[in-house]
Amino acid sequence: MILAKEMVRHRWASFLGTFAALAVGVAVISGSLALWASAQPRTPKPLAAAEVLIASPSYDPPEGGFPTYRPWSPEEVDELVARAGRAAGVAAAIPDRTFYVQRLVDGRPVGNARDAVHSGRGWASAGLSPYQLLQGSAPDRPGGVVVDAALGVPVGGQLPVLTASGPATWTVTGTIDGPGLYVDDATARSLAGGVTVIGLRLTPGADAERVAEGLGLGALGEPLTGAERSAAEPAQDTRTRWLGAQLIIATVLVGGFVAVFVVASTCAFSAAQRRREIGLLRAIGATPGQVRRLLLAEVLLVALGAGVLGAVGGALLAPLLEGPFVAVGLEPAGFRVGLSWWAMAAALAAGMVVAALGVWMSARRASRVPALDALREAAAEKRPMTLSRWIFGGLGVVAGGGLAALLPGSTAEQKPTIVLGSAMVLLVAAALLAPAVVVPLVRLVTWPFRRGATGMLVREGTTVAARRVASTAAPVLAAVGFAVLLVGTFQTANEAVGIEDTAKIPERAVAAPAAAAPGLTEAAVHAQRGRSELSSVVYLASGEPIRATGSAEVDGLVVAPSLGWRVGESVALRFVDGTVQPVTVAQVSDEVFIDTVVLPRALVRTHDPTALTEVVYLAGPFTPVAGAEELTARAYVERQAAEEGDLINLFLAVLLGISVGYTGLAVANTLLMATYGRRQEFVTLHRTGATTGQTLRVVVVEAMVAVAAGTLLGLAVAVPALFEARAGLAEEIGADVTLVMPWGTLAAVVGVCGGLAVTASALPFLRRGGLPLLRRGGSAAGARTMAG
Amino acid sequence: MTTTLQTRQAVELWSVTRRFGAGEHTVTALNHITVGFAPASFTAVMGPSGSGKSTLLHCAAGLDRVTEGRVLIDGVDLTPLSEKALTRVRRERVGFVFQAFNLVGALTAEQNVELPLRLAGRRAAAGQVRSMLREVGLADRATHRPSELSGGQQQRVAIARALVTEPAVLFADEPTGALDNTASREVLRLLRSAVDRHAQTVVMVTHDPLAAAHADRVLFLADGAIVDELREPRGAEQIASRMAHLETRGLG
Repeated sequence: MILAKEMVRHRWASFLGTFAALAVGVAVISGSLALWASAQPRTPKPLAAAEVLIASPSYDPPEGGFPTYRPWSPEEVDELVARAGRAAGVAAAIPDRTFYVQRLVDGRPVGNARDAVHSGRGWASAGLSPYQLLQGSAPDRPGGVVVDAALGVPVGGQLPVLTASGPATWTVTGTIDGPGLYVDDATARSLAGGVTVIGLRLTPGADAERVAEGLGLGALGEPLTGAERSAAEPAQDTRTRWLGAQLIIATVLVGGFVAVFVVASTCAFSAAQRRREIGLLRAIGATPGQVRRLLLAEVLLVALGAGVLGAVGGALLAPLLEGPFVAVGLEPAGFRVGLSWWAMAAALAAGMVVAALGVWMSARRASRVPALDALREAAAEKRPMTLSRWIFGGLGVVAGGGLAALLPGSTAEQKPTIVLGSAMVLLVAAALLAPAVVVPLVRLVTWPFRRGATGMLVREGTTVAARRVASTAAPVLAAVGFAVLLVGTFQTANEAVGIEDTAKIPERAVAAPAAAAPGLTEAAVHAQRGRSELSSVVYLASGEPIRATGSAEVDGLVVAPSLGWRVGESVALRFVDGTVQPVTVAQVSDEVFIDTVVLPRALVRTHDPTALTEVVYLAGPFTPVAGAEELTARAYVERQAAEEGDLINLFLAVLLGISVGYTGLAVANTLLMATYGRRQEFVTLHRTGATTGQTLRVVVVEAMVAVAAGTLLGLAVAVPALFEARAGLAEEIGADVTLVMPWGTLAAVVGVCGGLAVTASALPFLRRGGLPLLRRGGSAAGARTMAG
Repeated sequence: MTTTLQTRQAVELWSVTRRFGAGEHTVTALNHITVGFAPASFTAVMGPSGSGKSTLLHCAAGLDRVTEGRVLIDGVDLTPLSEKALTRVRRERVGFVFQAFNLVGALTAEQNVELPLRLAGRRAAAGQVRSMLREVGLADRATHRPSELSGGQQQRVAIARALVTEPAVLFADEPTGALDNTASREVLRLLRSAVDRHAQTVVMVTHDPLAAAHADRVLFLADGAIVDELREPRGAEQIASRMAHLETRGLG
């Protein structure tokens, strides 16, 4: 439609906010999707050269989640290797044995704790990787190791490392062009737990699919070829990716939602400003449907431009997030973001949908503008509040508040969802109800200044234009409420958890893993006096994994009641090394964590050479050893919480960043449009003797008053809710909880909103040397140029 | 005063009543008005402010709904029509010139003139828009936007826009209200020539006796009813004296 194109060209200023909101929204979505596309599981690099991978039998939890792979027993591995080795087209069948090993530099473990758990491999596994031996030779006896040439340790050099048993010093026998530490196969066999993957190298010309089909392994293993091989990814990496995906989903949801929100409010505001023009169109023969389509077409045109910009921008910016994502554990090491065309296309399409959704309501309303409105002077606003605003706003407050009240009692996985849901609902409710509360509040706030000219103008101006003030105050209200409620609730909850967990530890101090270490080695544990537990896993006959802890204090199988086993019953347990052993239940105890078994420490160690200890509760003085450090019980609990908290903080930061950024945009845009739209009013002010400075002051003060009103209202919603959350927490743990008020966050949010509001309202005055508005404002009707 | 409606009229109002508000605050803007506007006639509607002259125009043009009675344009009864059907009637049979704010700011003069055709899903015939603009003396301003035109020029573009669909009737609401004398005369001359040369029906609401003097017939409204009529007025003075008479009577 030509009309739509001309409108957009002519009234670009009024589409600026929509454009910015959509560009940012599409950029967020495009970047997130690029991350998502790059974060799909892929064949682990160290196994990438194996054309076929045989995965051990998997177990899919009935309640959903990730499949787990139970290890084969040593006999099963031997049989599979033999059978696969005989199959036509197979050159070699190599079991992949991985174990925990970490390099020590100056006595401290270095690298990524999550990667270290499976960074050690037998030299045979190198045959499954694309890596080449660059220098030296393969390790052929214990104590030899082939390392990544990038480490810079020469052949023959000494490499101090930490394994599950303790510190050791290996000699570098060769270097390769990829990460990992490769040792001789006998050593690998003794350090590694069980095998869950066997890699096949094929003879030249053999077809992977055909080889896989011809193996005939039955239930013993599943051959994987091509992209399916990504299933062999270590379980931690899968979980890490899942967490990353959660953040991406949340980001896309919030980004999309807030973009709809901003586009909707921008469009509603601009439609209200254009009533006369729409009335004229109706008078000269535009049907309601044509008006609706015009508004839709305008916004879609804007969305197309903004979408292309945003999609490309987002895709280009996404790689900047590689580092941060790996650092906080949202993606496994080696994560790279590529350019994805479908991500850009999907983001662009999402932008169009968002725009259409955003403009829908105002387009419908605009289409009902009567033709007679063409004849009315810019009408004073009718009732700022409609019945539907009251009803839906009220429902929103109840629903959002109810959701937020669930927060303290929810599990860690539910929290982000609840937070998101309640924040969105409250955001909408706040926007709906704002006109009703803002005006009385502004009158209250400005009461002391009612005698001055500025004060009087501001007071009367806001009363007449409730919608305008509300449009400014509502986003501020939402941002402030959102920030204070979410950040405050989380910080208060963290505080409470810290108090509670510290109370559970009778010991004063603990020996905890040093930074970058995933756990304590056997040597580190033996050096200390105190109780500790070895973390491992056992598998039931079904393949279901169960947490197993090795404790020096038990001499039989102690199980949690939740498992439903009886004392004296014999249970067949498969250990990490794959061996199956019947164990008799010695005791059922409430003391044991849900779905967990406790076994004698020595038994667990025998079957899981790679197991690590989480912490030693010290009964004596701390003995310094490599990979361990002393912490007070409280500090240890806080560190545990912080690890979880890092992730939550990142979630919060992203969500807050997006919502505050957008509200800032909404505030700025509303004010910018409003100031342009009020040109006539300012001309009158000028003619009655107001200097530009005075007019500017009125506008700026009005903007600040609106921001202040929004802040006060936001606090009025959030602070009681925060106290409510604290009361719930205190009751739960039976101790006083300090309320954490996120002053820093609050200040930042208000600062951003206030700064943007003042800038946006003053900006039209600063252009063209002070009096741009007055030059054209006096000309006759029809001059509705928004661009000034 | 009675008006007979024997011949086919361009616009007919049958006992039209328009009330605003409800209950005690009801205001009757039009009180059982029956009037017809013959094809190719130029009628001026006058009256003191609050007399209902604008409401009469809005109701006759299908911009506003009547409370009672019927309105027919070109033989089509507007009263039972849906909003969409009403819009279509306006688009095809009615042209408008308002006092101000007649043009879409984003469009050029040419595009504004073409707009009603486009809204109707038609394309202007080759040269149709240009010849329309030439007729109102603005051929050289076709690509200018409203903000680049004077008030009088804007009104002339509006007249071109109103005439391009060859409507059954052209309604003008104080078309000269915001113009100086020269521009006013030009606008009125254009309306007059539309009647004389193209047999256009024109109904104009005005408070200016000078403007009303261009009409074939002047209707005087007071308190929602037609209280006087002047056919073939002999000049502004005659109209002004009738108006003055009307206002005195109203005060008394």
